[in-house]
Amino acid sequence: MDRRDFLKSTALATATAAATRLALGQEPVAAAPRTTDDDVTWDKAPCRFCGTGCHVQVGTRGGKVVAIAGDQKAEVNKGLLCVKGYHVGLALYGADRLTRPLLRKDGKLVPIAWDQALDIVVDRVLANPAGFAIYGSGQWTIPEGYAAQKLIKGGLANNQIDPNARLCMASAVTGFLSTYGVDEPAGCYDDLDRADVVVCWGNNPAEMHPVLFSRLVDRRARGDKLVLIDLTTRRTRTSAFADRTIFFQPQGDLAIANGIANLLLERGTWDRPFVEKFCNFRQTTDPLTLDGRPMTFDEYRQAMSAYTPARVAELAGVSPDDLSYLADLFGRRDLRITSLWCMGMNQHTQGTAINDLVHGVHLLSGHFGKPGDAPTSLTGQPSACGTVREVGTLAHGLPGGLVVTKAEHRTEAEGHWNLPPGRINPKPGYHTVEMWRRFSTPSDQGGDIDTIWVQVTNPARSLPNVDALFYPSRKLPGKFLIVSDVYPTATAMAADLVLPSAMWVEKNGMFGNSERRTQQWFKMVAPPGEARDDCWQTIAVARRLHDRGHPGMKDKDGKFLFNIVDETDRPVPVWDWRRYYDVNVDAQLFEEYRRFSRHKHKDLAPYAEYVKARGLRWPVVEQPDHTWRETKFRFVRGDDPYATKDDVQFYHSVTKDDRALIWFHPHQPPPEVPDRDYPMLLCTGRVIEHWHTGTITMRIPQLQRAMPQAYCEIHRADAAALGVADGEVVTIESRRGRVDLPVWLDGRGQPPPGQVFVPFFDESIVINLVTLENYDPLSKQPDYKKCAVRIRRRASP
Amino acid sequence: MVVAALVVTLTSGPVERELALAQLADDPRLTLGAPVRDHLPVVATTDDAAAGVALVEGLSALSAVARVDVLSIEFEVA
Repeated sequence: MDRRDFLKSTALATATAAATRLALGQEPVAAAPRTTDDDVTWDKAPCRFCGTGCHVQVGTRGGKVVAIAGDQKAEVNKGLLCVKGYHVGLALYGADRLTRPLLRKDGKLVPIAWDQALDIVVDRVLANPAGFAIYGSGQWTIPEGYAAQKLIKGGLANNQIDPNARLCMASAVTGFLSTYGVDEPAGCYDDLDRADVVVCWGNNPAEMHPVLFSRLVDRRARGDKLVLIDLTTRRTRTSAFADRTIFFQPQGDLAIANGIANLLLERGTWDRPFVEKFCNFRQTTDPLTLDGRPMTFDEYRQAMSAYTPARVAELAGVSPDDLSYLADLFGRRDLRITSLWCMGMNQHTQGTAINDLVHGVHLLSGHFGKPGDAPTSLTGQPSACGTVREVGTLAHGLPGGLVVTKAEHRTEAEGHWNLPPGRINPKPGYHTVEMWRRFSTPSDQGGDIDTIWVQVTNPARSLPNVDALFYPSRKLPGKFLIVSDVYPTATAMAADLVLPSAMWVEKNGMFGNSERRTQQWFKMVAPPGEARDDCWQTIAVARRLHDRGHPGMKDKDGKFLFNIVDETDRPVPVWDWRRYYDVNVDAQLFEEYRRFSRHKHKDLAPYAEYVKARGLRWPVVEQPDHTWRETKFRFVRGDDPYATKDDVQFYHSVTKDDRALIWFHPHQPPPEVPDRDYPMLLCTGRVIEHWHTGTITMRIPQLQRAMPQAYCEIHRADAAALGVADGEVVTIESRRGRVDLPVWLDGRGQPPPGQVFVPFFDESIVINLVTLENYDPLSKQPDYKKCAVRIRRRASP
Repeated sequence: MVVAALVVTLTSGPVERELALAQLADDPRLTLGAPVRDHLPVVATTDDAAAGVALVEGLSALSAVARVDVLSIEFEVA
């Protein structure tokens, strides 16, 4: 058998195993082979891209990644991958990897040595510790985020750290906190296998979470009856599979949720026993808080009664028939209903409110706490949950769901970190928009952030209204931008100092996905040139601060903040790159971090358990036989070890009585509505081929060719009125900025008249020059889904 | 050379399905496995990854093909 025949036979075995599983819903009789060639070494890793958390098998040979396969043993994806996943290995091999530190001199970035680069970072910190910030990411590994968190909260004690996940899921966090008193979904992906009805709230999983979506499509292919409802503002690929597509006007989602609640109450189809046993009612206050103000059931019913089908039709554009259909479904006890959402509900000036209301519909109707009955938010980044929400790398957060504003939480964190009492600052740092606004404001005019160290993200393209929040800083004296990244992104190219980073399987790592699943992988290949782990960069800076006398870099016993030790408990100088992999730094940081996880019952297992598994969903609790058991369905007796009092127990209840909160929030108009000057609404989003701002996927030739540039979708009637043809370049303009890009008529997505959709993956077409930075008052998450724009044919050059 | 493992999910219309199976069987780039209900294991062999992507897109466009899942891809790095 020659090499080609060998590869073909193993590929056919893989495909046959997957076909069997798809067809019969069972594991294949024989596991697919793990190797396709004798000299390829295989190991597991979670995919580098979205928050689904698919596992891949990574094949390496000669120090290179040479093959990728879906991981048959992974519960998340069961051997399947999406178009991005099966190309993830090529993410490492773009032609322009950053391989040396670069310093801007006379306007140009020139190579320098690591020693000099680290000294420059340290000089900036020491010059003004209070004005130094780290801007991180849901793409940080858990140990990377934890190290940055410890440096800022436990070392510099200025709390100036926030992640790009503020831009993608902060409203989901505040929604969970205000409803259940603790963050992250109760359900998991198993719900997708058990639900009778799946409602996508402004969500397009066919493109954004395609492997999860394939679980739904596969169930149908096996003959399962599954009703898929697409609540959407434009026709998408998800619409093509939906049993019912219900279009609504942007910002109309609050009215829809309230309208469903009103009909449940009016028809008496709400779940009285569940509500009376497990829920309290809350309403909005001024100023807004996560606790709100108590209201009685009668007050709640009265407030909801305003959302009649006729009023919902007026506010949301949803017909009374469609609203009645939704209320009928939620009113049935014989169905299991899962709601899914992501950016549509989160990137919203009423993001917390709509999150609360969707949880409320599930609670009011009792569609909670049984497999298939779950309100579940999805995330867009591979470790938005693991690194941001669980490690707490937000400006107010501490690991494990603790917060800097509570004295008892600071005391607990100081205990875990062995810090002197009072080290942790009780004042939260700046959230993302505020951090960048202050960085782009002159120092003598309130711009008190003068250095930002960006790790693993691209704010020059992902911040809203970048001409206001990002670019002014680049012309202000005294402002200094440090960027750690793998490619010369737009942010890196605008930086004063660039640090080349290792990525994905070039380093050890851990991620946490959308269903509370913590995942681990080992370094498999070396990073190129002088690229180095972000975690090492953080520890190396901390050590130089220590050596130059910064008092925050020592614990209360005088030991270095990152006291990494060998098996004999002797410190290992891991700040020296040559020694970094002498021990497993990830494992030691994780073991320290997981002590925090018990406070909010987000228990994590020892690092070694994750080495063995394709991820484990927290809380993971040790059993009498010393095995470790994960939790699929949180707050549910019989599965969640902490739910012991009743069938359902919300044991972190805001009201301290084991009850969740059902909220009333009124519909409110968006911050910007179309008018005569700017008559259309812009929605931004994503496409299946690309991820985030495209800095990785646009360097994978297959993905770049499949979707080479951004475009704008408009309705054919609007195109006719504007006199533009398919493919013609138009100018989209808002009160903040404008971009030129081609029109795509009747393309993949189809907005209704008056609306425009533009994906944000293309660094060369900066749609965030156009978007606005208004944000949800509680989550501080901006609204990228609606702003007023006008479109015109591009003027001749 | 690129070798990819695919699962082609067919729709259940018998006439279109037979037609699609015949088309797939005639394509020299494809090796077909035994169908399991609606799911057909397929190995695609192409000169380069771009041709593989084009092939998958072409398969997806066939009227009797509901979807194509790519399970693994063997590629070479320059």
